[in-house]
Amino acid sequence: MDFDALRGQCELYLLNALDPAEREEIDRLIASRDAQAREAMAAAHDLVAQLALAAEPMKPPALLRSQLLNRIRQESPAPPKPTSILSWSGWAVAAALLVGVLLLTSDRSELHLASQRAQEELTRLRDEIRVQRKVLAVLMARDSRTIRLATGTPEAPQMRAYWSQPEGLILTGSGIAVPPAGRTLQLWVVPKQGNPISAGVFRPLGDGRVLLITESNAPIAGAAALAVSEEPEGGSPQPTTKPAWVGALGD
Amino acid sequence: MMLMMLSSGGRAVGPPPGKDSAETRWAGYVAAAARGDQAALAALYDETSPLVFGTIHRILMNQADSEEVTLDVYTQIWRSAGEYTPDRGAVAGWILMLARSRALDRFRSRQRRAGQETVLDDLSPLRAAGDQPDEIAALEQQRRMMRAALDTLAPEQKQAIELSFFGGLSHTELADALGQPLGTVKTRIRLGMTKLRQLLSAGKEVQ
Repeated sequence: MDFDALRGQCELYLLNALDPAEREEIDRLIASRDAQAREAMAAAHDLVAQLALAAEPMKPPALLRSQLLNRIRQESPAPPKPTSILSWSGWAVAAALLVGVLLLTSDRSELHLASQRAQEELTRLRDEIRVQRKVLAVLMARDSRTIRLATGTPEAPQMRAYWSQPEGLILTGSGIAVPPAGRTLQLWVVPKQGNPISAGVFRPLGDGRVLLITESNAPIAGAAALAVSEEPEGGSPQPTTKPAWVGALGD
Repeated sequence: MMLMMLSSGGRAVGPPPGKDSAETRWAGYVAAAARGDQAALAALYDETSPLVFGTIHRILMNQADSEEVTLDVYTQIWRSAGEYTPDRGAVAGWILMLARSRALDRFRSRQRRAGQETVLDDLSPLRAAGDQPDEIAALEQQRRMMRAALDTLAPEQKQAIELSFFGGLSHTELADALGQPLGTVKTRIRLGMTKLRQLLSAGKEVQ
């Protein structure tokens, strides 16, 4: 296959317009680190991405930026926090900080800056509470199920999922190898009948930890298993590789 | 300068040599973010978020969901910045494809929750935005080229490509939705993408 034809196939691959056999051929070429295939995929990737320019740009709300910065600050190797579980006292401290700052700072620019920082801290705390409430809600739900996802190798790291129909699905793990560049991990709900349903894509953190919180709406009663497979970056509509981790739900 | 932010069908990927392009700047932000530089991620967000948010909103047509997915996208960029290499394509392409994937993931999740079928009418129109941010004004020429190129396609080719990209429909799903044979849908996408590639390459040379 010449370069142009290969690039055309890669474009269809990215638009999910190839038959399974054709997809496998592209997967095989990419996995074999074929230089021409990788170059063709990169060129196809750029062209397909340009389709996004057909959408009108929209400025996101200003608050989103501070939420993002708060979130990544949490993930950065920053000085350890006194506690990882936020109590209501945290809220009180944050609120007192905000009020105190408002009362004591006379300079308007300083007041504005301090207020902004306090607001960002409140936003960060809100995000943290939201996550922790979600985890607690799933763990404490009456219908909460625990599913252990294992590989075929006994000593390999496992993952654990906690699933409640109304509350959501949480996947945790540690020591999980980070997939190579251009690949990601994807969680699937495998129903008793029908095709697997994506429950989200994720990458372990640098130290191998996994915490995925998803809103899977697939019915637990109709699920046979959970599975995790390695997929192209961004995930796939259906698994393209054999799942590396599988956990049966049982009856 | 901005036309090379995303390579448009040529074999060369990335900015032309010697040009201080946005692509080079964004690649610098990503490299700095990989070293833990939060300001670099903030700068990348400032310059690219209108594109990302617009793409996500076009797919989801929902403000709250679009905001959440945008946050997730930049968080993922932060986490995986160290894994980005130029041989995977332009930074802009990497970010936009990531945004598309995450938005489609949310879209499918929402569909399952609502038990709805894809509504083609919701996906087809280009949504007009009242607020044109200054940060992406420089991209306007590239956007005009893409939209002009799309408009030169046969309507059925444009429809198939847009539904595939923004609707996330596979060619099988497209064939069902459009009531056309599988081969026909695939051919429409293939021919449309080939023409787009040629048009954008030609446009780039003119520039």
